[in-house]
Amino acid sequence: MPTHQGFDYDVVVVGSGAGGGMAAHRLTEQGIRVLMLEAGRDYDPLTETPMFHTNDQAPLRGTGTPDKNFGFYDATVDGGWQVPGEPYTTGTDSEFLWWRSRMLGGRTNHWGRFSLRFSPHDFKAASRDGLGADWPMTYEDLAPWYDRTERLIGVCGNNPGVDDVPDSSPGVLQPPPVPRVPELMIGAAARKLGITAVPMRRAVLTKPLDDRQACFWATACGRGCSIGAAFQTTTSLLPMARATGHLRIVTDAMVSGVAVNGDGRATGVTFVDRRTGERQHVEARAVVLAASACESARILLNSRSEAFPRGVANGSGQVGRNLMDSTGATFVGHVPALEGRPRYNEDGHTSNHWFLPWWGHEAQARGELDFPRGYHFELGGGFGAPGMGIGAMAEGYGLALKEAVRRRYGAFVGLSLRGEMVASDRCFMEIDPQVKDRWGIPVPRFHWKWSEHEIRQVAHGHRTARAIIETLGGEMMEPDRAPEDAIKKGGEIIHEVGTTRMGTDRHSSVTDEWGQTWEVPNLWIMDGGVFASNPHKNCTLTLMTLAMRNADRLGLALSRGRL
Amino acid sequence: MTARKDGISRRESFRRAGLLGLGTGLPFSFTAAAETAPWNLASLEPVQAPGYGTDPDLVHPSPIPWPRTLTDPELETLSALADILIPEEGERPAASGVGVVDVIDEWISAPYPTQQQHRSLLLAGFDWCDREAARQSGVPFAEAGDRIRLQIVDAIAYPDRPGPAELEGPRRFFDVLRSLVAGAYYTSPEGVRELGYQGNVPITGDYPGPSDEAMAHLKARLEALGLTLD
Repeated sequence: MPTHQGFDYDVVVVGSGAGGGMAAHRLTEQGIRVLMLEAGRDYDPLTETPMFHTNDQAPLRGTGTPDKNFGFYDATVDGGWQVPGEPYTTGTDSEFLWWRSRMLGGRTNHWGRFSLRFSPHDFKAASRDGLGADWPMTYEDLAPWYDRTERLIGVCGNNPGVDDVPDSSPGVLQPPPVPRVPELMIGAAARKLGITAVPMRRAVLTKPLDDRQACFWATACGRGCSIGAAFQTTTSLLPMARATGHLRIVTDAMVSGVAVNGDGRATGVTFVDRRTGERQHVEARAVVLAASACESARILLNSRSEAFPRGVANGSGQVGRNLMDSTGATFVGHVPALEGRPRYNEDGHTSNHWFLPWWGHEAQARGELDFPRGYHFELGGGFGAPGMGIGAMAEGYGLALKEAVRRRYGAFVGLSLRGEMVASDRCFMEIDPQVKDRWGIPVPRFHWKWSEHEIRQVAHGHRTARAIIETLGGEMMEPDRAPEDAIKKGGEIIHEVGTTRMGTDRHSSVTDEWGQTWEVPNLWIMDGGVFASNPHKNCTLTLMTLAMRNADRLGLALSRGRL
Repeated sequence: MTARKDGISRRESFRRAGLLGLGTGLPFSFTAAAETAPWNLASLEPVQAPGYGTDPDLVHPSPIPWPRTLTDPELETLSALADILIPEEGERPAASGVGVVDVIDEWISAPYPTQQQHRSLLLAGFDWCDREAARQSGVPFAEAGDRIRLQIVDAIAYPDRPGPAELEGPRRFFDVLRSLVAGAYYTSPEGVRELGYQGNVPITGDYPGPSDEAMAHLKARLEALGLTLD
């Protein structure tokens, strides 16, 4: 049995975020011993989360900076769009942003907690429109695993009976919080336009679960959550896995490659100790990569040998290809009907209680839309904690200025589009032939170009958002903004997936439906890299559901001596 | 008062310029012909100071690691402008009474790109306000009378109104200054209270949702728009 500093183990799991955390939880539950390697530092939400801290206690009133892109209080450690000493590059005419964090629990410490299931049509989109790839399984295959995952992590929401939001089994979901005034108002306008607003599903507890408390309706989830209400692996899956005695976590361990022997089996991984710069090798009976879609693809592509000249498990040439993000655009409106309204505590769970799921499947099937895939709107606005932007759209000065700021506080609404893009030959990553990071590891080079599918989808979203805002008697900010300008950059929504996609044959995909690589039987991938397509519903829930299902299978194979 | 490198205080240099009818450092003929003070947006040496880094203590934030950079005369001009933007209102203090001047000093002294851009713009704006006040009254902005101050501010406070091209820079300055002053004021505990923000308190049990009063207001507004809740 492999051993590291006195700890005997079977499997090395690379990464401690959504995929790695779930893999470690499921494997250790089955009695499999796990050595987890996390590139970032140790992190404890119990002591490090700024609960109730106000903007006036933070530098620059909490405003985002190049050091802390999402604001001072955002949980992200040593990360954001740039990580010190760990660059990435982009190809000619390409813009792509790559969000990373260097901390235990990875990006689960700050994510939006939106937890929407993919629906039956999402798994077979290519069969309908001929674009991209189908998933190698159906919704029905995954539905019981969605139930188990939702129960385990704790998801609030309901079954609204809308085709874009499949039902969870009875008793799985926790009750959603009631909607607030701006959400009710947008919901009323949307209904007039034939669009239904329903509760957002979020991995936020509204009832206690295990030793995690229910949400107390304060403190933005992006800071992390010291009471465990907002799901992150550092307050749930990792402590649970540790409690089995079968998990050892090594932090500051930046994995650079997978070692493979002459029989085509993975023998272990190489990592750099970020504190000393020293390179170490650990052995393993099986290796699980869950370092994030782009980091795992980078590890594979950097693991070249005589047997694998294009990188480990890359006989198909698909590693690094099919890179997808969600489309994104935010449309803001000023709604006079919301001005001067009675104040109340509108924090809720600090994100949208209601959203607008995709309503256009039928119109798309009838050929009435000029783009192939759907989107949803996340709803924003309300009496949030004031930030430095509060006076941005005012004019004048003095008491008139003050009166205007007070009147317009809570009178702006935001509709954030999150949509599905189609995999394209123009969106991929490879290894930069020259640039290395501070650890000497070659870095990714990203290539990115939106296609007309995404641009037309955003144009449709623009028209829809404008119609909703105008139905409310409001005025859309930047009403004439072109979709090419409104669409966010690649990577900016931080839903990057697809770089090690799963499929039904080894020539066009990297793994089978279980995340097991076609070429290296004891090398499994359990992050968003395995996605065959990227439905508009935020990738984390599905990523964890796949990791749960696939870690169970890996555990079974190991227990039975099949690997 | 902070002395300038040439040994003359900034305020003194404005006095002299005002008395002589000169814009500082500019030929007499140009200044005499101008209807307003010139706009000098200089490219400044970037602030060389550490930021707070990518892993600051969030629970116990350290003191700001970069030094404040505004001089005393600049602080006086800023303070006078900030209190015009957010004056006293009954019991409610003016901007300078809740630390807004210091927040903006911290802001424009920060070694980050947005803040550095704001630093160039705000320093040019303070300089312009002082020159303009001196042109009109012989003293810098902070010492000018209310009539002069408001005359200057009125000319630059309304970006959507038509105005002379040479005020484009000062108007841009005032737009950013307004945003920063309002932001700093309304993020202070006094400003948060004034807005009526009621969140950031723990609630046991279910989230209560809108108050009856808020729902009644919503229903009335929806009715006026011809919309309904269900």
